[in-house]
Amino acid sequence: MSRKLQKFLPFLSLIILFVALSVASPYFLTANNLASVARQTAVFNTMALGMTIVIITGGIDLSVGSILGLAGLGGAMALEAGYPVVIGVLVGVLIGTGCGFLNGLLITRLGIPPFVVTLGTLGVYRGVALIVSNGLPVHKIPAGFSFIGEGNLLGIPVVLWMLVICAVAVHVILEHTRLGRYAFAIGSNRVAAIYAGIPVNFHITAVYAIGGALSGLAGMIEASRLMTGQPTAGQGYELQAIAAVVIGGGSLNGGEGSVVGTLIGAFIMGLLSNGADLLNISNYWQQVIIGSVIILAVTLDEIRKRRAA
Amino acid sequence: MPLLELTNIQKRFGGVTALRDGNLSVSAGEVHLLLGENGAGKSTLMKNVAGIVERDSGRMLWNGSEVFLRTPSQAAAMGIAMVNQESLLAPHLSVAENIFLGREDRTGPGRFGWVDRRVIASKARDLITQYGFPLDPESPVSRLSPAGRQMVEICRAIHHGSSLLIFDEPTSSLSDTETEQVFRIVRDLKARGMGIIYITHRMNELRAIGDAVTVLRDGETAHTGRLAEIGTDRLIQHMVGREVAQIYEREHLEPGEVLLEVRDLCVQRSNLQGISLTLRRGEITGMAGLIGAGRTELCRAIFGVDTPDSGEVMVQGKPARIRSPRDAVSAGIALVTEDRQISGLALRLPIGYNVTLANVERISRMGFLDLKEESRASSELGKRMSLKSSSPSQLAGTLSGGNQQKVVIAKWLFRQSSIFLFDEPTRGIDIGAKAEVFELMGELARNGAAILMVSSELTELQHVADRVVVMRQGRISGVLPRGCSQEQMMKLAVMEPTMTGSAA
Repeated sequence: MSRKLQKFLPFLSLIILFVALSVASPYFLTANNLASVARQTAVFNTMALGMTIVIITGGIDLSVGSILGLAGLGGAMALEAGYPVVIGVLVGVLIGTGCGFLNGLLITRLGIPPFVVTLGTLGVYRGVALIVSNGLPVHKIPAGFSFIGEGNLLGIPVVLWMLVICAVAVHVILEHTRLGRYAFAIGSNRVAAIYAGIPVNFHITAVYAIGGALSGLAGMIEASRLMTGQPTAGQGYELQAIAAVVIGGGSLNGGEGSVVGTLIGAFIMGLLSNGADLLNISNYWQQVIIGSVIILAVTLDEIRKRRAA
Repeated sequence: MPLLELTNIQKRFGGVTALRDGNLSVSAGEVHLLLGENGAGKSTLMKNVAGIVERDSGRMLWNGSEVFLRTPSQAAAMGIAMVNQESLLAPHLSVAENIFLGREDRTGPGRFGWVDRRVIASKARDLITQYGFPLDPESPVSRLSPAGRQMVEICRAIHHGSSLLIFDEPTSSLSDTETEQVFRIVRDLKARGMGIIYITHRMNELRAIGDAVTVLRDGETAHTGRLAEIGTDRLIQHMVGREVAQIYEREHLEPGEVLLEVRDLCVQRSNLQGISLTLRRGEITGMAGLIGAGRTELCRAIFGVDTPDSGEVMVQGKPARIRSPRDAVSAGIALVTEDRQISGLALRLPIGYNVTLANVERISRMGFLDLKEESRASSELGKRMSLKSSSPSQLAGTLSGGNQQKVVIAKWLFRQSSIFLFDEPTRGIDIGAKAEVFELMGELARNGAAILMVSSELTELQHVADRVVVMRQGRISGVLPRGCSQEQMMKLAVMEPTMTGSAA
């Protein structure tokens, strides 16, 4: 296999999967189904975008699922209290940002590995959501809020618009701004970054805050789709987000990853799950398939990197 | 009959010929030096001997009969072992456990995956005392000095009766006393009748140890013969294909204003005591001293990595508050560290990213990066430094040591730093690249930079530096003018400092 082909392998797999599903199921290539894939994957996709930057710095954020839950809950409570939709969404995003910021502070100020810090805050944020809500979902949300999760704009799901905007923004940050450049540098060689005079702690904190903001937004999308603020929402989503980044070529050692790769990774997982539903493959098997795809994708990517070295 | 005889060994990797004509023969009880620049084919030739790489053509005779080795274990079974240059040890395991790592089964009770620490430790102790290594078999490898690790590597290699040992630059990260220890071991092994192939970059250690020598250049055997019959200058000429004098050539200038002044600097943690030093425009200040004398620590303190307990740093006559590398970089100070892969370069990122790393502001336009400018600037710097690379998007990790060093220097050029601290700038790079690094340092000085060059290569200091500051046990023990002898430097590096003359 040529190197070029290997580099585009994730993209190629996505296309092949798409074509195969179109052939295998008459329902796949319908506007309804595709819109539902977009809606289903929007939550993971949004989270995975933030996770991409975090992973590029050589970090990890295990708390994004809990952030999603807490932010969705907080936003829903604001809506319940009668604030307009825009404010509600803003509240969710700000709660997410705050949680991410706190992760960043703990990581940089205490010097504890991100894995450990976010493993801790995974429990803390979830616990706070349960305490605040008393474990009960928030239901009394104005009907207009469903527009985010279920509505269309110019015939295209609103969530897809939001995803595109976020993806472009994160791509621009990564490839065209100082923050992105520093994220790559920190992930590739932290000591060299410090020695080059880069304010490393500041940028690490910023990266977790951005990741938190995107998880907060994902929380509002989830809340809008369910029309509830669930304190338990988002459990286990962190693994989906990490999987998307990794399938898309991100390296858990840091210094590698891209928005396009992550989106491809997330859509591969979304299509697999959608295809399995359409083809009546049981939920149990879906887990086996997706798990295997993660291992396969990373293996192929490793082989490519080893050859390139 | 020689123990090992290689004739006309050839090896190609894809389209690249790594070895065109490798010849070498080593007898029992002989130390055969293998010299050559990086990429000359030394490693390929030795990997062929150690069964790591298969040759395309040529002959390898082992005790007179032709052999073809396909795996390292085949080589080991025949009695050929290689001592690795970079420590491949498990730091958390003990010396004994490392010596027998992967071969626990041979220690007897190690069957069924059971490892008896006491048995391993006593076996290791036997081996260690037999060769007189100053090692404690039960101490973890992480506590050992680089020389200690090297000894563990040697133990690993010899513990099952090898008759040929290959050393790949064993002393490249060792101090002089540690180097002497390794030499003693090599001589001892030689006296026991082992054949030894010894790869080195350090020209000043050849005579202390070698019997015969082979020089490779561009994959061909440039010279092979007895060491006593050839001068060092001729050897270098064989290695680089040019005259020795040209390597260090540089015009010395009248030094200008003081750019950096260090006054009475003390750092308890790294045992720096009362360091005073000035660096002037246009001047290359050499710094000699033994490993552990505090030279690296001084660079770290000036650069804000370690915070001084007392003392002052003045930049261009004004007191500078340097609390972090960031402050130092803003003050125009650049540090080229001795371990560029650990603290100098982001290996998995493109050259261009590395060049602009310390000055991304310079390619920022209203918050966005001007990637065209980055590519243009790094190409231009690359050209100026004769960097051998395909494009600014090539990953830094794929460059040779000398070219990686050039990228590190390019980073500070792009930052427009004016005070350069070079810590062992030529470590691990070949002579051709060394000459280019010196040329660059000369150019920097000409353009008004102040340069501190820490080096353990006294020859370098002697030829390149305008004056040499010598450190000993955390203090400055003396300052020598240009043209001082290596003996003078060594004397100051080793002897008790005098009461006077500690200011540099």
